Amino acid sequence: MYYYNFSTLQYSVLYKVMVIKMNIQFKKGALELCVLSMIARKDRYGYELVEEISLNFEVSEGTIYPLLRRLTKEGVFSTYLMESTEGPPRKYYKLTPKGMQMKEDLVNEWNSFSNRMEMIIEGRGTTNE
Amino acid sequence: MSKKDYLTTIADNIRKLPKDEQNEIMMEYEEHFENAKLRGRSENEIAQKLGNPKLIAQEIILQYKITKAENQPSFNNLYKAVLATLGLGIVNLLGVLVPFIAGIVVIAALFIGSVYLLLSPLLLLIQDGFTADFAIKLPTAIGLVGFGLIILLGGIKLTTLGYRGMIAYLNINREWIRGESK
Repeated sequence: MYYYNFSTLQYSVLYKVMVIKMNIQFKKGALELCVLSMIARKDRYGYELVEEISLNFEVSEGTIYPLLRRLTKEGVFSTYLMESTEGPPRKYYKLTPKGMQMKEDLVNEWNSFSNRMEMIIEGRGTTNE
Repeated sequence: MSKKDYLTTIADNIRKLPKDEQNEIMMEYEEHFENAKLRGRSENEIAQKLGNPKLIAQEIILQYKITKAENQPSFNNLYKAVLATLGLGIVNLLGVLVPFIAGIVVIAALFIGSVYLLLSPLLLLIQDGFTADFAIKLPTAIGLVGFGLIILLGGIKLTTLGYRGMIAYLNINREWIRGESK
């Protein structure tokens, strides 16, 4: 009896850890795509992005800045400062050609992924039809 | 936490980084606080939504070290990046340190093994001296030299792959730690 209980506990903890890890990887990819497509349409500054993303997703506000920093270092964004009437000068992010390419690739990946998910959810394209 | 305390905590903890890097980062968070305050948010609430400043500083340092190891490959840089990961949680002790050490052990074994094989004719000479015995065994020893070369090349290749793999692994772990501390 005790042995049985212990192993199911182990299993569920491991499973939860796996699910959390997968969710985080997934969220990370989703966040990247958000940021890339928003900046592709228009140059943005950091706080703007934080605000807009927080409207739709529950993310810690601290996650956006490291992401922007990393992508800038990788050459996906270029930055420039612009004076603002209301507050401190704002650092704007802009897509580089490399960033444009990356955005296209991620969008295609996302589209293909969500199409396939939709098919499975709606039961299309499976053998049990 | 007040804005001043929050920014001071981050600033204190990123002092290891180059000056212009530090300035850039502090400007970002300063900008964040100011823009948020313009929206009517309180400093306490802003600080809370950003998250623990010490963890943020540690993650900044980790990211910097990983990028450095990526752009300037060296054992020292990789080692520092691994150390920075460890500072972020006990889980990493097993999950990161163990593979790292295992990798070093395997690669060291390969190199030591290959050196031994490459030296085999010399070792044979030391063992047998210039005798008929030596002459008979010599071809085999020369064969072992060839074998040693293969192992050496394999070791070099494995080091390159292992280095890149370790960096990729550190990046994945960094994402996980950040997600966990949300």
